Amino acid sequence: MARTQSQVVGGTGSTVIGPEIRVLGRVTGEEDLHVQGRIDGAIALTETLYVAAGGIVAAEVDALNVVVSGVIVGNVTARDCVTLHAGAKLVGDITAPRLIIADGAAFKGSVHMVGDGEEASAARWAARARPAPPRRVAAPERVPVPPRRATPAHVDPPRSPKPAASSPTSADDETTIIVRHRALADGEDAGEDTSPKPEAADVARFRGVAATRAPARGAEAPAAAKGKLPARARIPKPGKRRVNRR
Amino acid sequence: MPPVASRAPSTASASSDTSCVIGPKIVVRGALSGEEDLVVEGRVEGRVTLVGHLVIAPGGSALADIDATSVEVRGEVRGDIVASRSITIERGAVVAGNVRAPRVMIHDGAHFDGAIDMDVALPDGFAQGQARGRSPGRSSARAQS
Amino acid sequence: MANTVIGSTIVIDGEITGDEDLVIQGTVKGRVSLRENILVEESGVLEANVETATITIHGTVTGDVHATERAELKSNCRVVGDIRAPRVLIADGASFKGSVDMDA
Repeated sequence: MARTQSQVVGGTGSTVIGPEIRVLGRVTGEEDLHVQGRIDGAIALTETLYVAAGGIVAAEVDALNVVVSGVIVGNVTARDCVTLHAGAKLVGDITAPRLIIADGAAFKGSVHMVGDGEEASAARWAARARPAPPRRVAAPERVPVPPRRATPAHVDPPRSPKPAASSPTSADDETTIIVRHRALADGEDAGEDTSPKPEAADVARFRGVAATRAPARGAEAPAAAKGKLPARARIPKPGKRRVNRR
Repeated sequence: MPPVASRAPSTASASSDTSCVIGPKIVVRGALSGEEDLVVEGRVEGRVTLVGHLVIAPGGSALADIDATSVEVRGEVRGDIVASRSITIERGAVVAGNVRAPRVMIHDGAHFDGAIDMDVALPDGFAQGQARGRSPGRSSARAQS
Repeated sequence: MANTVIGSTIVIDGEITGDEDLVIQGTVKGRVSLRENILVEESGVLEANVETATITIHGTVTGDVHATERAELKSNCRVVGDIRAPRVLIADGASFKGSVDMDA
């Protein structure tokens, strides 16, 4: 009778929802699920969800992998990979470390790739942004640094899950300025202390660390983490900085 | 903002078969437009409007909104991409922004963060508006038409 | 035609409807309404009211069963609920608690 069907489809541990079946509710499981019929509701699997060509899933999906040849309407979260084959249709948001959209698939929604790829790409972007030829600003070297939004290379990864989203694409407002910090010019510009941001020495005092010991780097992370200093107080890394003058 | 000097002509006049290339050490800032294929190996910031095929080479980057016939991304793009034919995001590419085209292909190993809009014809029984309204707005801005 | 198999680690909380045979090795809670055959295997747990043509139970069923053709309770099954079917077979060893109505 139908008892042997499970072996035919995908070996042991594979569930098939046939083309004439409709499930309305919540499906959870620890094995692969092949949907040839229709599931409305929610799906939570530890393994792979396959939506066959005639299958329809109108549900929030959470699985290890999601392989779509049919239709999914709902948000999809995968711990490994989401694959849309030709003929697939997905309307909803995808959260997965890997995504493959083949030619002929149709997708509408947002994509959020989680995992270390994101911080790596943000760091890569920041590194790429710096070597661009700077426009020397005529202003003196000590330009008051306006409150600056966190730039990707700056912020600890856990605090900014989406550095990509925080930088708008208005390149016209960007200016490159050269900032010479006390940490670099050890005593050279002692008189030019008009910058609004607290000096490294102040921060160092605050932290109880000797001022001459390259406090910029050391103080930066704890200061940022503590949040006691105003946003402006964030000591920039020595070197050329790209400042978003907004 | 006028474009900074680059090898790319700002408007089309070339009838050559070889596509125009923005070299790896060139930065273009401003509005770039044209009617031929373009390969970006350097950096483009601002806006790109192209009637033709745009390639962002593996070392290239674009901090710009792009409007082209077809777009192939192998480098990095931060901005919205609209294509009338297709958008392909290859392995190793990094794209952050919203993407809209009738065909969008994302290869394994590509990094994408943003929204994708292809015209999806759902089978009967689904109201598109209902399907969209269900999902909470994600942080990356979705420029939905 | 592919048969539907609900694998042993699957839990469905809701309603299943359809026109196919159904094999349950996992857990289904809610309602099942089919026009064909249901097979509840030994590992299957059905906490639902069932409407079907025939049903063969090796596992556990908690709920009312309405079969338009036949209901079979095999040995070692556990059924708690009312059965309504024109033909009912209860094998030796089956555990059953409920009423049987063969007039339907």
